[in-house]
Amino acid sequence: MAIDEDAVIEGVQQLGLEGGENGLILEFGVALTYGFADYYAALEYEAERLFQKEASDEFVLQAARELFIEAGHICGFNTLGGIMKSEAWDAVVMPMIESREDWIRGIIAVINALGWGRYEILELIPEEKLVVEVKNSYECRYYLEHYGSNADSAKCYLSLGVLSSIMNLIYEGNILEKPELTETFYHQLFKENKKFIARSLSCRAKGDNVCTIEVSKIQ
Amino acid sequence: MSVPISFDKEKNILTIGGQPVVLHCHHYNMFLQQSIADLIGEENARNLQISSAQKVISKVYDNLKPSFSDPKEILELGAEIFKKLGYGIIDFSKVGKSGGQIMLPMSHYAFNWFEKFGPAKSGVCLFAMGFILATINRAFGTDFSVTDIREVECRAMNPEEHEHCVIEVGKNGN
Repeated sequence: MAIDEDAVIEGVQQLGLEGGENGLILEFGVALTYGFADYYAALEYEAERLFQKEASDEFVLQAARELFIEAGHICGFNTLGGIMKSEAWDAVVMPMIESREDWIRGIIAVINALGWGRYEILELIPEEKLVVEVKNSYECRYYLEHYGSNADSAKCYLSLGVLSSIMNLIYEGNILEKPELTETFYHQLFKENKKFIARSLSCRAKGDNVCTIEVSKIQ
Repeated sequence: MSVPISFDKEKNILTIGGQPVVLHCHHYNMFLQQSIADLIGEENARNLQISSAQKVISKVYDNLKPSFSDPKEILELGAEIFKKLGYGIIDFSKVGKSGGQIMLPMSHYAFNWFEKFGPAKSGVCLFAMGFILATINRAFGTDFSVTDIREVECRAMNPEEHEHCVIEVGKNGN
């Protein structure tokens, strides 16, 4: 049985995620917000632009970009990890899962309900590699609108962080066993024992037609 | 006036008031806010976040074109959107054309900042401040900007001392 993406998206929508009596959306072990895409993107790229004025050294600039990618790791670990541990996951996605790789297909289907754009798996080699095409990414859409398509580096920070977090969670963190998603576990998975890293193969902000990201095992 | 969150199945995009929204958790929100301050300094980060929020919320109101003649109805709409999106509870009952005091009995940023990082050095409700500026300006036709707003109490700084977050708006610090 393949992952039915439409059913997964419908399942997420049926959760009716909206602020409750206290104005918070408490779900999947986290507090969620519907953040404005242009707000997040403006923070990333304007902060990067301001930082670039002060620090012209490429090594330092890359360290700054890594902060935004780490935000993606944190997002993937907590939000996507929380989703894969949830009752909603058990009810909607688990019945379609037949293999460890289906966990990846399932969580990508969930991502497609979160407003981040359209993620499509191009290649998946178990325990080795994941290649994903990202369409309508809110980061690159904003970048193109405000800065054009001649960026000197890839701008899909969230996607880079999130996609590597998925591979690390599934193959190294064994999220299938539903471990506690603690700060200690995060550090073990992303600081000490990180096995998968993401790199951009193409990015619309650099003038490419699509954004494509490859996650592979650190050699 | 109820404002729905719409989903575009073709593009996998969520919108409210014509503006794309994305689901993110508090861990991401807090880490991003801290990272921005680390990169460009507290003051620049404050101004960037407040003004960016004000800009995007102003667009929401532009798109919704609320046809209310009573400012109170705009303020109620703002409070409803703020709550629906998961940012908390906002009380506009003490504001008018010259500004005033806004209370946040619950703030996503303040509550979760303290939970994640412990006591904050200064107020952390920067998104809320931009939201407030856009809402008050729309309700009263004013032109308050980032220099006209300050968070005088923030739960993230000390929950025992500050049960709620309090934000003041006024020209020239009044």
